[in-house]
Amino acid sequence: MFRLVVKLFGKMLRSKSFTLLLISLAVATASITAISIFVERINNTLYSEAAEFIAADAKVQGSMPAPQEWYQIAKKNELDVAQTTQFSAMIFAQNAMQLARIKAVSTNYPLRGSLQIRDAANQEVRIIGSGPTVGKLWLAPRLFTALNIRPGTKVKVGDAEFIAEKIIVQEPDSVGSTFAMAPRAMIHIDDVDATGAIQLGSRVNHDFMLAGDPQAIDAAKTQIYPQLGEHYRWVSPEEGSAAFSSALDRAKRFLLLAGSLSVLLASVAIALAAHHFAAHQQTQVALLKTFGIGPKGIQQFYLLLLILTGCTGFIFGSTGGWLLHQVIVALLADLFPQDLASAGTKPYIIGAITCSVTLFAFASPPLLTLKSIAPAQILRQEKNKGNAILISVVCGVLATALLIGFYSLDIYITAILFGAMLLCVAASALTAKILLKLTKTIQNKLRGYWRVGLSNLQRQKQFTALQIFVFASVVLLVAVLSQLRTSLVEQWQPQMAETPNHFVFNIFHDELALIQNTFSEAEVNVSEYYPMSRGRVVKINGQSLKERIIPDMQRSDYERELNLTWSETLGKDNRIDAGAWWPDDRNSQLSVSAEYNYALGLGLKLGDTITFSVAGREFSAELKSIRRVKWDSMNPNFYMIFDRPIADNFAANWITSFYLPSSEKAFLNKLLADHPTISLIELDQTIAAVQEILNHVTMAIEFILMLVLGASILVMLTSIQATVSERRRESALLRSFGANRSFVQQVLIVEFASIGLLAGIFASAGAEACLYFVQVKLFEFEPHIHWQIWAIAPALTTVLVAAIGYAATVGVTHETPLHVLRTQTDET
Amino acid sequence: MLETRQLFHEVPTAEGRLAILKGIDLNITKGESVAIVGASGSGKSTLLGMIAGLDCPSAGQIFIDKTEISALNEELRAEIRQRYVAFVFQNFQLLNGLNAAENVALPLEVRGDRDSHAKAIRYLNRVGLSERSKHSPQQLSGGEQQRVAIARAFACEAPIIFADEPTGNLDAETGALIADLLFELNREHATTLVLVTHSSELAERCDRTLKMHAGKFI
Repeated sequence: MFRLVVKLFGKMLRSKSFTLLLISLAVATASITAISIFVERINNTLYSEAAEFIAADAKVQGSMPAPQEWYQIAKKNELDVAQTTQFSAMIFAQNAMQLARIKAVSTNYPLRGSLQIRDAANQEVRIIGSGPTVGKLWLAPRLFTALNIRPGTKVKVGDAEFIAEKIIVQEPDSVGSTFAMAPRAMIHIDDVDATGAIQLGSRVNHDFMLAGDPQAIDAAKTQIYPQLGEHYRWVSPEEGSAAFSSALDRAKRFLLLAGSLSVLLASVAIALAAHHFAAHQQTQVALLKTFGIGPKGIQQFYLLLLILTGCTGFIFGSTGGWLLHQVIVALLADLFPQDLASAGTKPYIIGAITCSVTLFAFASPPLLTLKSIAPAQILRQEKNKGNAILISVVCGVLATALLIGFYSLDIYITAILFGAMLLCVAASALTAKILLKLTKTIQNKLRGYWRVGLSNLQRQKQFTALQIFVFASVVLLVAVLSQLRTSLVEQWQPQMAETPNHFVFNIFHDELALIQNTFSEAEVNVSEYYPMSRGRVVKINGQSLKERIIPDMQRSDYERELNLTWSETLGKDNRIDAGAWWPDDRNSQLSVSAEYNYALGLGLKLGDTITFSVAGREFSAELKSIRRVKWDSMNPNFYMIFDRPIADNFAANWITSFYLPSSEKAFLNKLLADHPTISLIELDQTIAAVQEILNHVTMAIEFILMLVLGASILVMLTSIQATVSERRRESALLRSFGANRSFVQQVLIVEFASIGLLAGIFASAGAEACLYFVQVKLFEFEPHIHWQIWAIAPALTTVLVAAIGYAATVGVTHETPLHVLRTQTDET
Repeated sequence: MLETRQLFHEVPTAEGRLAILKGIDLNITKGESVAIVGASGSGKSTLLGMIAGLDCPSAGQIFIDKTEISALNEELRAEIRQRYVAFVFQNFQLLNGLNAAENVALPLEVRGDRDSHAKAIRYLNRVGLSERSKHSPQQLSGGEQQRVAIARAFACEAPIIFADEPTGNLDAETGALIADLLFELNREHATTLVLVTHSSELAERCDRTLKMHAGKFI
């Protein structure tokens, strides 16, 4: 049997329908592999860039030093290790002193990224790969000013003496999640003991940093994670910064979504080609049965054929995918600032799995049901309509859900696309019935090619419904993707253009009015001012926090101190997800609003009584609302907001953020000179880095969109190609009845344009539904009606399907009717 | 060699069940050539399909070499076809992707014959197509295609040949040549030949002619 299959496989390569199946499979595998390689390389590149935000590939933050066992785990996994210890201490100069946040670093810090320093205020910025040596102290520029010293001056930190050596311009992991910090100073970790600054009860943060192979990081995580307990927290690059991770998360979701959509498109192309091929195999099957092959033999034959096809498709597809991705990378070579990270074997495994699953789910139903072809069919010149379409749809829908789930590892993406597909299937099934009635009514009132064209739709209503489903799916997917791309890019651009790039905090209440005045005089736009107190959640409905924390959530995330605030108004970058913002007639009970993910982790529900501990005082508040927060807005945002002050205004610190172009940096000197006690963080470089990443991602998105568009056109062509032999016969018949070539061509246009119009309408409805879920649930955008889709999709689909359909089938009118009617249509 | 007892066959239609065969009794001995004739729709092709084991009757029995094939499932009927039966079709049924020799060799490969290619060439020589063995069906005339189909049927060396309108798609002259070839080979191999035809000339060359009308022999 195997010999026979191999022999016929070689012959089948000459058959149009089989070649179409193989090309569809290879193109599907190629596009998925190319997207996967590209996504994986971008992902790895973004990951390595993201790693710079935490100066490592992963780290464990804790209130105690990392146990020795973790160092052994790191060594066993061949990982590089660095440590930092952060604490507050006074720095004494000759005539001044200043509280600073000291960061003590080991010799190999940072493991990822680099430090930017100046040797003196008037010197160029230098990029270096390690921190200060023993006995040296590096300081933020503001500390030099505050202490009135220059590089080279001797200073003391606690009990130890240092030489203030360099000015820290930028450190990779400077973007902290807490703003309650003083200006930064950096020493070597071996100097910590000498300072004597860490005493029992001191607030100290220890970072245990790791870098190396991603698999080794995963292995170390598996071993260390269970030991984290209450005092440690695992931090991956994506969690390094809320702003960064939010942008990265959206980009990754989009790339995954695009990948999933290409799976869908590829599957449709394979299913169509397989049906076309199977239809042409019926005579061969009946013939083989007359030779004495039974149903089992036929099934074996096509199973072996599928395996052989899968192997061939994968070889061509993965090679093509690699080449395709090389072309994309070559096109983008100038745009990427560094070499892209390698992709590894994962994309090829994804390609192989996708190739086999799509082939067996979409191509096997029509081919493996060929075993039931009656051998006597060969005597009757008839085709078995079969029940493979229903089986294909069921198998296809399930396999697509499985594939998208596997590919995206995201339940939302899977659920949304699965829902959209079901909607399309239901709409197409409905179309078949509506079409029958509609076209019958309309065609009776029409004449000429209109009547013939519409009656063709009615006559082949099952296939017409299938084509409408195919085109509607394609247009739906492209509409969703292009709309999302637009939304994402629009979302990022304004956000980045005027995004606040400076935070100012530690503003005392009595200084607030003066600072507001300084900003208004300089005409600097400032976001909302928020009072800030440090505190923690201790109980919910009387239950301790330990019992409440949902498993898998890091306990320390919820048990740590939070910045708490109170406000009358809801921030522009906050959206109420449940409950309501403060009503005007508030009762006497203190109310609180919680951030969505924080509330989710603690399992908070509206009406819960939450007990807080602030400065040793416990008090309770009722949860009135849950908010979704845009952390990447760079405005001050909080997990918990109260409806009224929780502390005396005079005891609170205030925080705000503002945008300042680099040309107006001089303003900062004035601000700090006038208000020396405030703290300032400059985030320009962080934002520039995020912007650079977003630019890469935008380009990636645009290229992937192009790939998906290419795959869409292939699907359309495959679908139309499947009807060419039937149209050849119809065209020949019409012409033998006396119709001229132009009449037949107009019939084709009417037929395809009608299919395109109906597909466009269904696609608009499907895309609207799909976008609602994707935008609201996945990307947390505001929902709105996409009028442009309703305006463009039906019109564009009508023109596009009519044009592609006409171009692909017009050839049938060029053959002589006699030749067509004499030619056999069955192929090997 | 081939026997039917009270063979009935019905098919479902929109108007109810339609009887195609109505109690056919038939007995064909080894080496005999039998023509089944009748008007279109009389049930002759359905009968051919039944006695060749391509289809199953609604009622009655069919025996090939004393094996009741009407009691067998499709898998076992396929085994019987492989052992006893070969076909010649009206529209030749050659596979376009294969050349003439490959078409002839195909059923031999299904039977696991390791000598399939040489045997195919031998039979193509016998039907006068030695020069056309590498030509695809599209490159052959109708008569040549039917000669390839005859070579394919006899190459199987099956004891029974079923021919469904073997000259139906050919002009009179070519049809006569094909008929000559068919009967010559039938004699050479001493096969049992059952053919369905509209042609009285072809029917007359058989040992026996059975005429069908409305699902019965008359």
